[in-house]
This record gives sequence, structure tokens and C-alpha cells, in this order.
Amino acid sequence: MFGIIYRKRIRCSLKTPSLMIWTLVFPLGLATLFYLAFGDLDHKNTSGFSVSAAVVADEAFEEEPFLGEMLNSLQEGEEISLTAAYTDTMQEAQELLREGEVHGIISLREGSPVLTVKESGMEQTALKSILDQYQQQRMLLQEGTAGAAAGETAGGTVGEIAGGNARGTWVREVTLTEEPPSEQVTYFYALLAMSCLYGGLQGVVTVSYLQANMSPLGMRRSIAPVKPFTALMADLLGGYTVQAAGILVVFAYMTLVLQVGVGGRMLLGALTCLVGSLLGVLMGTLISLPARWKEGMKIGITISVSMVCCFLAGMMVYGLNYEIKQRAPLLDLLNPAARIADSFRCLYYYSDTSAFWGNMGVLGVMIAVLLGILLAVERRRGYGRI
Amino acid sequence: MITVKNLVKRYGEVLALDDFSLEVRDKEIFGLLGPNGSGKTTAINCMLALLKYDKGEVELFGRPMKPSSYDSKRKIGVVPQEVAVFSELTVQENIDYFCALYVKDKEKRRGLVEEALSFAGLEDYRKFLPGKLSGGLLRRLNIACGIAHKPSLIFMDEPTAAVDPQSRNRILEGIRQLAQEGATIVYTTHYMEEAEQICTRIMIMDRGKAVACGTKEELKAMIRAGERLTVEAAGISHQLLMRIQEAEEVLDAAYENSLLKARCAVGSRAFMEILDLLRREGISVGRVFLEPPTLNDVFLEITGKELRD
Amino acid sequence: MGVFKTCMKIVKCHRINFLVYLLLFLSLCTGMAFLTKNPAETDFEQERPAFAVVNRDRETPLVRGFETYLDEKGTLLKLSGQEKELEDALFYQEAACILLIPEGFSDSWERGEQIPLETARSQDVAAAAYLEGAAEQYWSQAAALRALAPESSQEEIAGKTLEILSQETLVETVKDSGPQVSETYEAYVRLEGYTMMVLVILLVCQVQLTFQRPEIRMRNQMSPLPSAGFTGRLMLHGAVMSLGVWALLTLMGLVIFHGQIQGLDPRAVLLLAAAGFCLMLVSLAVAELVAALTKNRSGDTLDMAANFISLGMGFLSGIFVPLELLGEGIRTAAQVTPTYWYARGVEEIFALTSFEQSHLWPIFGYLGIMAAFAAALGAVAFLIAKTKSSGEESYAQVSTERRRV
Repeated sequence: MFGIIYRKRIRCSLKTPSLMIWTLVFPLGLATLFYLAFGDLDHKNTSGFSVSAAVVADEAFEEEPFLGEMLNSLQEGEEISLTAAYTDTMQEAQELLREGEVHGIISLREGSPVLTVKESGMEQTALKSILDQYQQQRMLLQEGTAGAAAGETAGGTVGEIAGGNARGTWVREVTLTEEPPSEQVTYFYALLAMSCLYGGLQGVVTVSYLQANMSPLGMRRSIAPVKPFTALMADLLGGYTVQAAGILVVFAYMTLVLQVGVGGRMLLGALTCLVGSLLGVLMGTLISLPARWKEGMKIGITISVSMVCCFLAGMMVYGLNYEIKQRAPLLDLLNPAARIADSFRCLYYYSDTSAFWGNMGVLGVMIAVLLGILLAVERRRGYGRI
Repeated sequence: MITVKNLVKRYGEVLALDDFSLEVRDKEIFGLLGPNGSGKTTAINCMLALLKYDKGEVELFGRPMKPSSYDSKRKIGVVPQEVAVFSELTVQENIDYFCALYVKDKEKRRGLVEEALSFAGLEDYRKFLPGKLSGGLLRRLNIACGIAHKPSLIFMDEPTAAVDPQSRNRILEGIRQLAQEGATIVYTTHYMEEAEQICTRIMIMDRGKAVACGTKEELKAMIRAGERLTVEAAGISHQLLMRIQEAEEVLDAAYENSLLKARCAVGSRAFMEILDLLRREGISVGRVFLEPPTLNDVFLEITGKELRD
Repeated sequence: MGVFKTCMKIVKCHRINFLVYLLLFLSLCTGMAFLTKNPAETDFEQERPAFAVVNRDRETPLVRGFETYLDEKGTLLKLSGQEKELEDALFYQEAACILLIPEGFSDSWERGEQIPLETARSQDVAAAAYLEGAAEQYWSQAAALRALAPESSQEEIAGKTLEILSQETLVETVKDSGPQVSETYEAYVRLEGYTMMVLVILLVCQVQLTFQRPEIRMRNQMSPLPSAGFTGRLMLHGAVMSLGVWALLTLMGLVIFHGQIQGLDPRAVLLLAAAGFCLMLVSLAVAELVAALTKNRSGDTLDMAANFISLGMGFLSGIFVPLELLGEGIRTAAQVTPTYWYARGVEEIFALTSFEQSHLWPIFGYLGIMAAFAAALGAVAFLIAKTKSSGEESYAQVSTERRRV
């Protein structure tokens, strides 16, 4: 009996177009879209940082050749590259600033550089720090000259000292993790989490197959000489099988075709998909237990709940889940989408798997709780409202 | 009231209406009888100008029926085969909506809706959503929506499909009432009992063709078959059966499970002769049934197949 | 009860569905508020990106001075130093970079050698580069001072370095009329694009599809009300619903953020509302198109279509992820989505510095493009609906034949 229900359920699922669209077409479509849209996201972030400034090249500027040299040397700076637009008058420079062509204006007043900006921001801050450095360097030079005059010079000329002030000698870049931080992958992980939770639709369908008051089919099933428990389990398992197959296809597509990494831990990634889907199916099942709701409404609720969970897990706004984790850790801990997405991230980012297993543990507890509720409710229910 | 001449309608390769003609007179209940797929609904849809047809003419109220014949449409009521109501609106709201398409005046409409509600016996369910109604009530709502504006010509497409006998009787009663109030009704069905019960004239359709038309008496008169005889009799030999079959005016006869069944020609007294023959052969006869011909017999004879397949 | 009122009843029947999406939108906005900062100051304020220092060596006066100096340049985060916490801080860009002082750093300093500091960067390269530059500056200044006066103590060098590094450039801010608004409001307006699309598609299609059910169409077709009358009323309902969504979302934004948008020029608010209006037109056209193309009336097909279209457009066109972060190629491709022009328009409106015509033209251009999209999509929808309604298929379904299949 179990086998028959199970096989029939699989066949039914495969032949329900809307179900297949939700479990396969939708995630695959969104994944492709993400790939197209975010392909350059990480690349963009790692390339250098460029600022632009208008430089008022008046007489005062000509008198400070060192500033000009420094600005020139920054034109092809590796970390921060400066694009300087030289103007003859302050008015021209201000025009450029107003147009938004440059981030700030560099001019000299009484021998000291002045930065003119119209707003605050990282670019403006970088410009300021360039000028700060110029000032500091100049002070160091004066210090050195003063020292030299007093005969205190010990290690080379002032020029050498200042010249030794090159970048890259005091800071060296290292990486803490196997893979670099990546914004792009988080969107994909959240999408996988969403696909898992969409398994809830299988749950909704399963229940409406079972509830006598939901469908004629449910009624027929209820009077058949099959233990409700057996029928429920067979149906759920059948729905889950289809969902799991679907999510594995999506997972394979993401990792193999779109090359979204999971730190080389494909099997653990697949495990996450399976566990997540199980949770999704159970969530959908629980959502559809209230017999009074219509099926359309149950589907709507399942989808919206999935969407909200995924949103909180950072599907639409990068880092939102981290922010929530900082401020409302419990909300983050209990958000299934966040746990699923974070599991993938753990696989990708960490060298050890302890955090991953932590997430799996939480998901496991959730599954156990949902299953418990489901069994308790199913055992007690009668179909009073056929 | 309705004149249809030589209507031809094709769905691709399929010929749905084949030179179909029809005349419906004022204030009659006209039955379109035929098996599933015989073209009843297509005929109605063509008459209502919902479907384009390849050839032929349709006149309603003496004027050609076009999609833009709004004056005619105002006088027509339609009860489609599928329950056509908004699942989002209550019973009363549904009737009110469809009535409002015809009647603008609010006060007048309120009265009409009330009448339709009581006509369909739905007064107690006015606040119900269609999803909560039983099949029979739903059908009644479907009818109420079609007739609330008091049309003088009503098309009903199998209004009793899948309805319990009680509801069906109520619906048929209502249709008769509508006719008494002066409406002309075109009624399609594949239940011949219904057609016999309420229709003043009946047209039998098969494969897009009108195969016969007339009152039920006229129809029955068209065929050779008269009464059907059923006799409980034990021990009829094969030879005896052959003799019965060969008897004059006996169309056919069969013997099975101690039941002799025979059909005789219209107006013949052949059944008396059969009973005589049995007595003469010393066969004891149990109960005897004699049934008048049904529309099914008519259909069977005209088309060579049973009406209900 | 008229057609229009019936439309309203249908909407009312499905209100939970719409409310859920509105709720989703509000939670999105609240989430955004979590992430973004307060309105930018009109006076210049240095950006102070967050960082962490992990000292694997011993404390020395120079290291203390280093931390003091960097804490002025950025914001020093107190992290526990546990590996995962550091890694997460980088992954989610809580810290732009983490500076690690390696073991033996101070000893080598005293020997006059250079062991470089280590830095682990997040993806916020700009901030990381800035902080690393500051670190370089500190240590190179300190080294230069040591070279000048080798016998100075660490305290002296640290003190002197900080003194030199306290030299700061004078920054002047040009006051101009550019709007100064919170990023949260900007995010709200951007996300409005997504919500509007979902809500309008759902609201309009739900009603349209109900009226498209073949049985109901047949009944309506048989009434004396011409089919143009039905189309007109349905369109009117769609327009009213869309206008309602537009007004609701616009007003909701103004109410929620009223405190943060006082610096915003009323003309900019009007422009934003106009952009929203154009997007509403687009959404309405898309909804009509979806309604014309959808055969199946079941709720989840509609849900799916609405979600896929609005999410897809949202991701593609910079509603969720700012446009400047997307690649060149995708930005070109995104131009075929109307929401791209919405996001562009909103971006430009918030960046407006003056309301001279020359500044406004591009924005009007974007609005025009959206309107053109709306017109084109609407026309296609109309054509499809037209062919569909005159075709056989619309009633072929209402026939006995179907039952037997």
C-alpha cells in the first residue's frame, strides 16, 4: 500500500505543471538571472578605488611643486587612483564640482592645501587623507631639516627619508579563509534556501490530497482502508522525493553550470539541500493543516512565508541576515532560510565544518519539532467539516 | 421567435453543425436532444452569435442575430452548462451583478433579484458564497442568474446536469413556470425523460444534424416501433423464439433470464398474438409488462444507436 | 451591482494576498532601515570605516599610538579575536579590513627591520585601501622619525608621529541646493518599484482573470452591455487600483520618513512621485499583458507570474542591488526592462543638485521611456486580448465536447 501511494504521489507531482514550475523553473530562472546580474559583483568590488578631483592650478599651486608631483604619482596609484582635472580658476573647478564631475577641489591657500567638497563620503575622505599625507610629509621634512640643521641627522638625507615613504612596505595583504568573502554567492545561497522552502507547496498539495474536506480525492482517500498515518507518510515521502530531486537539479545547475562555489564540498551541499527541502515540505504541511483555509490561500501563505524568510536571510539585501544576527540573534537562529543559506556559506567560506554542523543541528531540531506537531495534530483530527 | 437556416460550423476538420435548421415558435419549450458531442451547445452558441459560423442564417425576434444586437440581447437569458458565477460574490450579489447588466434601475432590480431568489428557492442562502452551496443549489443559482432580468427568450444548456432528483424536479417545475409566464425556452439535454416531461417540441440531434423534430407524439409516430412487451416466462425453446421473431408485425424479440422481450410495430396487436402463442404452447406466463415507446426508441431507430452512450 | 463594484468585491475577497505583499514590502523597508545610515551631514564629515586590530605581538607604546591614530581615521571594532567572528565580520563587511600585528613585530622594529603588518580585506576595497593607507602612513612616519633620531624612545617617537599626523587639511563644504536625504528613503523609493509591480499585477490580473473565465465571459457577452463596455470598466478598475497602490506607497513613504526628508526639495518629491506614476503605468501595462497571456486562472500561476516578473526585473534593474555594482554588460541588457529606467530616474533625482532645465531633461527622458514602455506593452496586451476574444478558443471551451475528454 505504502509503495503504491508513494509512486502515485510522485507521478502526480511530476504531472502538475504549476508544482514543477515552482520547484524547478522558478529557481532555475532566478539563478540564471542572478548569474547574469551579479556576475561582475565580486569582480567590481576587488578592483581598485578611484577618486577624482579638480586641481586649481593657479600661481600658488605652481609654487608648491611637491604637491603637483604627489598628485601625479597618484594618477596610476594601485590602491587609490586619482584623476586630476587641472583648471585655471576656482570658478571652473566649482563648476565641475557642481556638475558632479569631480569629488572635490584641491586648491592652495596661504601655502596650505584646502579641500572643497559638497558632500561627505568615502571618496571625499580619501581625498582629504591624500592632502593630510602631503601636509604631514611636509612637516616631517621641516622636522628633518630642522634636525639636520642641528646636526642630528643620522640616517641619510631628508629627501631619502621622505622618499622611503612609499606604500606597500608596511602592510601586506593576507587571507584568513579558503575562499575570499563574496557577495555574489550569498544571493545564490538565499535562492537555494528559497527553493528548499518552496518545497512547502508539495506539503500543501499532500495535505489537500489527504484532507477529506479539501478535495473529493481527499475524501476518497479518507474512506479507503489505509491507516491515515501510512497514507500521510507515503504521500509526504513522495512529495519530498520530487522536491528533493528538483532541488538537486537546481543545486547541480548552480554549482556545475553557473560555477557557484560551495568550497568544494558538493556532498555536504547536497545534504543541505535535502535537509532544507525536508524542512520546507514539513512547513508547507503544517501551514495547510487548518482545514478551513482554501488551497489557494495556503499556497499564497506558503510562498509569502518563504519569501519573508528569504528576505530576512539576505536574498534581496546583502548582509541583512548578519545585521539581524547582531541585533536579534534569536530571529536569525530560528529563520530556516537563514540557516539553510548560512550552511552553504559555511561550506564555502570556513576551513572547518563545525559551524556547518551547527546549522544542520538547528535544522534537525526544527524538523523534529515540526514532525512532532504534525503527528500530534494528525492523530487527533477528525474531518468534522466535510 | 428563432429561425435558423442551413447553419454550417466547422472546428477545423470536425463538422460540428451540418446544414442545421430550426424554427422555434413563440412561448414554447423547445428541447434539443442529443448525445454528448452532437452539437447542441455549438448550435446554441451559434444562435447567440457567440461563435462565428461558416454558413447559414440566424434570426432572433425576427432580426438577424449579431454580436452587436444589443436590443435582442436585452430580451435573452442564458443559462450556460457550466456554473457561471463569481466565486467571490455571494448568491445575492451574483444574481444582482448579472441582473445589473440588463436593468439599470436599482429599485426595480432589487425586486427582480428577490423574485429570482424565491424562484430558485435560494432565499435562505443569499449570503452564502457559491463555494459553500451544494451541487443542486449551485445549479439553481446558475439559473437564477440567467433569468433574473425576466427575459422573453431563455437558452438553457443542460441546466440539470449532475443534479439530484429533488433539485431536478424543482428546476423543471421552474422552467414550466417560466414558460407559463410567457417566456420562450430553448432547452438542451441528453436526458430524454426530461425532454418528454416538459418540452412542447423536441429536436433530436446527432453529429451536428437535426435528425427529427416535432412533439413527442409526432416523433414517436415517426418510427415503426410501438409498444415494448416484456413477459416473465420459463422454458421458451429456441424454436419457439424463432416463431415469435418471425411473427408478423414483431420487429424483434429476445429471450434471456426467463424474460421474453419483444418490440412490435406501431398500432399492431402483435403482443396479443404472442401471448396467445405462449398459452397455446403451454408455457406458463408470469408478469407481463407493456411499455409505450420512448424517445430512446425513437433515437435508436433513427440513428441506430442508444441516446445515452 | 455594477461591473466595477464586482471588481472591488473580487479584490476584497483576495485582500489577504495583497496585504501579505504589502507586509513583505514593509519588512523589506524596515530591513533596509537597519542597514543604512542617517541622513548625510551638510558639513563635511570624514568617513570612518570600521576595522579591527588583532595584536598577536606584545603591547608597545608605538602599537598603542597606532591604534589611537587609526581609531581617529576609522572606527575600531572590539572583536573577540576568535577566528569565525573575524571571518564573518569581513564576509558581511562589518569591518572593512582586519589588521593583524604579527608575532615578533615589535622586536623586529627595535632591531630596525621591517616586518609588514598583515591585513585581511573585506569586499569594501575602498575603505580597506583607505585604512591600510593610514596604517602605512603611521608606520612610515614613525620609521622616518626614528631615522632622524635613532636614540629616541618609543614613547617619544609615538608622540611625535601622532603630532605630525594630527596635521589635517582644511575642508570646506560648498553648500548647494542638492537634496540631502536619508539613504533609507532612497531605498524605500527604489523598493517601491518592486512592490508596485507585484501589487498591481496581482490586483489587476486577479480581477481580469476572473472575468476571463469562459462561462462568465459567455454570460457577459450575452448581456446588452457591449464588450467594449466591459473592457472599459475593467480598465477603469485596473487604473483605479494602480492609482491607489501608487498613492498608498507614495504617501506611506512620506509619512514614514517625514522626519528624514525635510531637506528634500518639494520639487524632488514631485519628481519622485512622477517617476512612481510612470512605473505604475508600466506595471499596469505589464499586468494587462500577463492577464492577456495567462490561460490558467489558478491563484498560484498568478502568484508565480507576479513574483517572477517583479523579482526578475528588480534584480536585473538595480532595485535590490544598486546599479553601479552591476556589470557593464548587464547594465546594457537591463535597459530593456522598464524598471531599469525607474531605478536610474530615482538615482538621478536623488543626485539632483539644481532644478535647471538641463539637469531635469535626462530625468524627464527616463520618465518618457517608462511611459513609452507602458504604451508599447499596453498595446501588445490589447492586441493579444483582442485576438483572443475574437478567436474560437474563447468559447470552444464552453462546449459539451470538453466534458468527454
